[in-house]
Amino acid sequence: MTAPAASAAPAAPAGQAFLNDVQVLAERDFKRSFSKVALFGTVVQPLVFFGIFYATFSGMLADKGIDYGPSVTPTLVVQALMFIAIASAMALATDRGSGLFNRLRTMPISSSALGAARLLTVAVEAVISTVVIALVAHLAGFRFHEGPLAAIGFLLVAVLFTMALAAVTATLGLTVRSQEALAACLYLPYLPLLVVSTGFVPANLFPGWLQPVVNVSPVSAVVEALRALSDSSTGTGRVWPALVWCAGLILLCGWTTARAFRKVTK
Amino acid sequence: MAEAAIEIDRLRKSFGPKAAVDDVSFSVAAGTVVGLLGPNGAGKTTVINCLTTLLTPDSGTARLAGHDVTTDPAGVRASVAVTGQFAAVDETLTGRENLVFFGRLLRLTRTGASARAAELLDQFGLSEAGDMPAGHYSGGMRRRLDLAASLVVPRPILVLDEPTTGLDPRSRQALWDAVRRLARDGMAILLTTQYLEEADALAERIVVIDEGRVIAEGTPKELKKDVGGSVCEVQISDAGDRARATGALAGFVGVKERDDVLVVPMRGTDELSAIVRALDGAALKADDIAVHPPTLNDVFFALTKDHRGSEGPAFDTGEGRS
Ligand SMILES: Nc1ncnc2c1ncn2[C@@H]1O[C@H](COP(=O)(O)OP(=O)(O)OP(=O)(O)O)[C@@H](O)[C@H]1O
Ligand SMILES: [Mg+2]
Repeated sequence: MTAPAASAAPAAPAGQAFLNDVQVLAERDFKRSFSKVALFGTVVQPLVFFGIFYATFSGMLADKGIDYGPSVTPTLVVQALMFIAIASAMALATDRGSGLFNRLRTMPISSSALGAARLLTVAVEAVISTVVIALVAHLAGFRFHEGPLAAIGFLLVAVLFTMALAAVTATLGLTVRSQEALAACLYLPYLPLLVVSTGFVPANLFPGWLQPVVNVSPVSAVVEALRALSDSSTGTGRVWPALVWCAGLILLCGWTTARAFRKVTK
Repeated sequence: MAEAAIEIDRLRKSFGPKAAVDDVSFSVAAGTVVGLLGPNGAGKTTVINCLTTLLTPDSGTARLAGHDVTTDPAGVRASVAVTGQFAAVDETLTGRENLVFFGRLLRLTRTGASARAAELLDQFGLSEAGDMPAGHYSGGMRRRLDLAASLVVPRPILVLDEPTTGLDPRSRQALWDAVRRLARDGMAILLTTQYLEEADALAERIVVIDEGRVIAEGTPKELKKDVGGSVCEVQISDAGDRARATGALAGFVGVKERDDVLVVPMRGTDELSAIVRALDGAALKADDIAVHPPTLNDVFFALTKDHRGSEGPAFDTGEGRS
């Protein structure tokens, strides 16, 4: 062994070290994100859903004068983003289970670099999913009627929402010990959240007692924001609730995640 | 440097009402290997986790390379390399990619990390498997990769939690050689083990813990002297013959019966012929006669006699591993 012992990791300026760590950690995460299995989740799955929903409902709703393709696209984007956040927590749980997470915690890496790398990864995945869905939705009549700036806004809201969701799921991923329980915690709420929102059906068609829930749902807020940024018939003022929700969730769950992170032992 | 590389003083850590580590103190000087010895649940991993900043001690202090684990965890992390009890590698990455990943996190350049990875794969006999996903490795291969990962960038302190559990004899020997070389180069090494022979082969000093407390500390020689010498085990299946043999061996001190085996403590190797002569004299034929050096089990039984009564813990003595 050629061991020049007693030489600690060369001290680099803190900022540079941080960037190096984020880059190396994110590269590993990307490698995982671009594996066949992961791409199935981020690219194929949303497209399959799109196909199913479009084929099933568009004809039905066309009779009622609803252009289903454009109106359901934001909903399916949101669904894809939820899958990304779920997969992100499962990835965290895998690293915890394999002990890799603990090894990283014994190395001279800042915990913020770990968090930043994860956020960067989900952001990139969100961009890919959103772009793929928007392109395919083009065939179903989805257009960015509000111009390129709004299209960028659409992408930014999608990324922001994914980060917010990832912060929520990360807390669970770091807290729930068994992978099975974690999978249940993650997959159970996703469908009710999606369905009990304005994503598929307008709020006024829900039973009266459910309407308040639909109206305050963060999923409704984000779906409406995405619609506002793509469809000229709704005002862009409807972007704000989504931004408030995302900012709130990121702050709150950023804090709970940091707490959970400190508590993790094995 | 006046201060030892690892200084542990009255370390305490409880989980709920139960103290996993209770008032543990010892130190490890640069260039030496200290073995932390104890049965399952003794608190070895908990001590290690406190040293490597995974756990915060309830009280007491631990300083590594002058950095306190509670007040300066970042300094500790920069000075310590750890191999945990369970292999911690990314199973989706290949062995090589794992090592490059850890190297780059320790601020090696991309090319530097690749070169170092190749070197370590070679050294740990993983060159051929280097480009296979670590998830496909056998347990022992994963273990070796895990060890290689802690040596990507040598740091002044190396902590190994049961590093040879699950290794075949050749890999274990290779690891022992590596540990000796690293210590000679000036590293301070703390390793936990359940095997006395391992502590014996590697460690200048051994700290024995049980139920979170240090129950003995010393050089391997000192500890074995406490335990006494080897034992001779005479196996006689026939109960009647065994009873007669007990009589024939009455001249030996401390003979014990364990199932169909008579365990005779030996004060020197010349006692073996005396035992055989005694059996011959009674015209008895043993089914098997074996001489065992003191095992951790023996050390343990000896050390825990007053510590927790006659009931010692049952645990793997590592017999039959080589
Ligand atoms: N995270 C934890 N929560 C609760 N109890 C724990 C935790 N970690 C360890 N313990 C308890 O602390 C005691 C010491 O455990 P530790 O893992 O340190 O033992 P060990 O000496 O490493 O054992 P082994 O040889 O089996 O690895 C055990 O009784 C164990 O149950
Ligand atoms: Mg242990």
